[in-house]
Amino acid sequence: MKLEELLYADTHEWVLVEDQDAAKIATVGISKFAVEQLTDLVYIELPSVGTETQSGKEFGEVESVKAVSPLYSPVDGEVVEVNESLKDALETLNDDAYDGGWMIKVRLSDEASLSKLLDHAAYEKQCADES
Amino acid sequence: MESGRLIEDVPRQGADNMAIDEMLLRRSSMSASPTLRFYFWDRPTVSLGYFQSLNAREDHAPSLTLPLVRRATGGGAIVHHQELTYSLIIPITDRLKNQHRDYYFAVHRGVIATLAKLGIEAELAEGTQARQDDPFLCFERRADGDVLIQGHKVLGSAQRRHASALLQHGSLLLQKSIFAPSLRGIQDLSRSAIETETLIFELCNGIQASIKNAWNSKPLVQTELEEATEIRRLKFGHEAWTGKR
Repeated sequence: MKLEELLYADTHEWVLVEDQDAAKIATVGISKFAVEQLTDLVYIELPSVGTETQSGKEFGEVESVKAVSPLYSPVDGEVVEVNESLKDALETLNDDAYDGGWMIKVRLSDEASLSKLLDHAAYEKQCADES
Repeated sequence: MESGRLIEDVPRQGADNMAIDEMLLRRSSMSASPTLRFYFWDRPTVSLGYFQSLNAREDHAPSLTLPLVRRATGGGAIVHHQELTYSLIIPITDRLKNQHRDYYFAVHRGVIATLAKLGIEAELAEGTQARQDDPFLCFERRADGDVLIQGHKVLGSAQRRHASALLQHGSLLLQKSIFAPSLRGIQDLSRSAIETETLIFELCNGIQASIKNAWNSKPLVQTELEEATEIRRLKFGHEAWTGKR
């Protein structure tokens, strides 16, 4: 996956938008920067297939070093696939945040939320400012 | 940072205690200053870490008969008996910054300084690693920053982070409880009696010094308690929350 082709939320989720059967499908995960900041992930909770997601609203949660943090959806739509294997293999996020570490796939109901997301250069700058 | 709000609360039921902390967390977006709340529980109660399974309590026979509430914060289960609980609510800008872990250390260093002033030597745990198969009880786990006396953990903390604020819960073991007989509190380990009021007063000073904030006492008001009652009804007092996993 080319990081330059992804969009990013300022809350550190990444999005890959692809055309599939006349629909737009967004694959969502959290960035390598986010994984590094969280350190030692021990639990994750992801939504069920069929759940409606809304831009800026929680779609899941992670626990690291006794801290529970929400995951925020960068897009509006319906969850059509969930990476169920992550729960028992959280180290995947450390090794491969952008491919094996994907979390949910969402059939977009509205593309307006995409315009609020950052491109790779803008997201890199945000991470540099936060470091 | 503006001076913070200090709440020395009365003992309450578990679901009320958790609902009040959630109310303070939700309201913190309206404030630029932190809140520090000290409280007890009106009956011995188990609080479960957010991601713990309800069935996991079956492994801890001494606390099986106690009422239970699920926390919003992470970590392991606490038996709230012969202990002092604190919650710290702090405005933040990015929930994922690993600097937020510094609040564990800041509060815990403040507690170590407090204990030292009371003649009790304590230290921070180092070199630990979180695991999914950790023991049920928080105080049988070890994480960097835990406060230890003679190798026994007497203070552990856990967090819930939202987009604009962070809630940190912590529990300071005062004395051995019949509901958690494997654990020892600061009075057992130091063999000295400490007045709770003195302890809270000194903890405020210790935490104030370590997170560089002054505290002004401001008890909960009726509108806050009403909001907390609604949160209790919909969340912490509801079996869908308690039996979440």
